[in-house]
This record gives sequence, C-alpha cells and structure tokens, in this order.
Amino acid sequence: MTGTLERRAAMAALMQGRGDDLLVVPGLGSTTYDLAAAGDNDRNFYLWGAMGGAAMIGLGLALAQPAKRVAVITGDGEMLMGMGALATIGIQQPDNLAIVVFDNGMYGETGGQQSHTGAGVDMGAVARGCGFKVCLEVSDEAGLADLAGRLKHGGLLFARVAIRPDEPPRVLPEKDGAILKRRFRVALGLTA
Amino acid sequence: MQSSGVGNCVNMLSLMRACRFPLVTFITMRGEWEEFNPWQVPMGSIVEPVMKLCDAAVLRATKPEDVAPLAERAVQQAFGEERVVAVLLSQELIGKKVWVK
Repeated sequence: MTGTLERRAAMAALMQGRGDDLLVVPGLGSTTYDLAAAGDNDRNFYLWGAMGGAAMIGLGLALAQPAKRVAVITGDGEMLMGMGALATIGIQQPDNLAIVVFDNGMYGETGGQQSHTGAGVDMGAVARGCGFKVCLEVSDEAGLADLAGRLKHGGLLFARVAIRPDEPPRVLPEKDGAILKRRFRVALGLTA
Repeated sequence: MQSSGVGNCVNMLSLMRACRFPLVTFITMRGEWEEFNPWQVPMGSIVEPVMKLCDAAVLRATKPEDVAPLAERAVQQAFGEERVVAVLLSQELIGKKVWVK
C-alpha cells in the first residue's frame, strides 16, 4: 500500500497553475507544511490543530462558496480521525469539493506510528461507500496531473495520493488563526 | 447537539478560539432531571464547566419563554465578541424522555 510519490512534489504538482477560485484547506501537520512549501496564498486556510476537522471545514466552505472550488488536502491520520465527515459529504453531494488524502500509512507528526491505512484500511472504499462517485487512486505523475486538472474543474471527488513515508524539513506558514481567517475572508471579498 | 455530544467536541472547539470564529450552539441537556439512563449523568453533569473551560459563554433556559430572548442574546454575543456561546436547554424544559418499551 505504501506509495512512492514525494509529498512536496505531489503538492506542487496539484497547485501548479492554481487560479483564484481554488480554496485550499490542508490538515494539521505535514499537509499544512506541504501547502506552505508550494507557495503561500491568502486562499489557503492552514490548520494547526482541530485534528479530524479538515473535511468538515471544507464542506462548510464548499456550501458557503458554491462558485468557488474547495480542495481539502489532508493526511491519512487526520482523515481517519474524522471519517464520519465522508458520510456527511456523501449525503450533501457538493459539486465543488475535492477531498484529497496524502496517504503514507503512518502518523508522521508523532513519530511514525502505523495508521489504520498502513494496516490495510482502504479509505477510497470508505469514500465510495459514503456516496463519492469519483474515487481516484493516485500513485504516479500522470495521476497527479489528472487530479490537478480535476481540482480546477471537476465535481465532488475523493482521491488517495500514495506518498512515500518521509519527512522533509518543515515549512511553517502563519499560525495565528484570526489572521488566517481574516486574510481568507478579505481574499473572498468579505468583510474582515 | 445533546449534552453527551459536548464531550466529543472539546478539541474541535480550539478551532473557534484560535481563529475567533463565532459559534452559537444549542445543547439539549440529559442527565439532570428525571433521567432514566444513568449513563447520561457523567457528561450531562459537566457540560457547563467543560464549555466554560473551552472559553464559551454559557446561557441556560429552564422555561419556554426564556428560549427566544436567550437565543437572540447568544447570536449577538457570539458575533459581537467572536466567540462560542452555548445555550443550554434544560432537561426540565425539554421534559422527561418517555421510555415506552
């Protein structure tokens, strides 16, 4: 199950040619660092906590901003903690939401303990069972390029990106939540 | 949500505090008034201090006529102060859960 894609390169590939209509919510820990490394953007809502909440935050954004495209890009451990969110998204069927899981099969932030996906849980099958009609397995560059295109245009989707279990040096973005919220709102044309 | 659900939300409430998100939550109370199920008591009895520890303002309605004004105040406070406001709907207000079987 362990993948070979390098996480920073994978995130950079997904963010390549990103337009202003893409809002991105990374999960706490490594995917937040990956997104920061791919280039800071006011439309990134970096999470530094609230583990298990990324997909539901993405759902709320997708419902509140139907003209925008929302991508939640989180880790397998974070997604496992909030797996019920997939069921809620499945019944809501927002057509502007992508849930992307960078799966290395372990909890990198706490020392590399094996996660449930590392022990064999198939997160794509869970998503399919929850009503996601598009569930992608991304394990190579061609898959990444296809997913990058779908992030710009596609409907509701779930994607598992099989990354290799390494831990590149951290790239730390802004961590004041109130600042992150306000700059995100201003970028959307809302009052701060 | 129900009082037992508060226990599942504690870490997620850090999102509200860290980002100063307004949040109004209505909590239907169990375990405090003619409760049949003793498993509802442990969480029901600590909802108020737990929500306060999470930096929420806590309001409590015990009579039907309290609910609308408390709800209005909760919305004003949550958005005005950018914080969590919990309105507890007492079990006394909701009434005893009827166990028919």
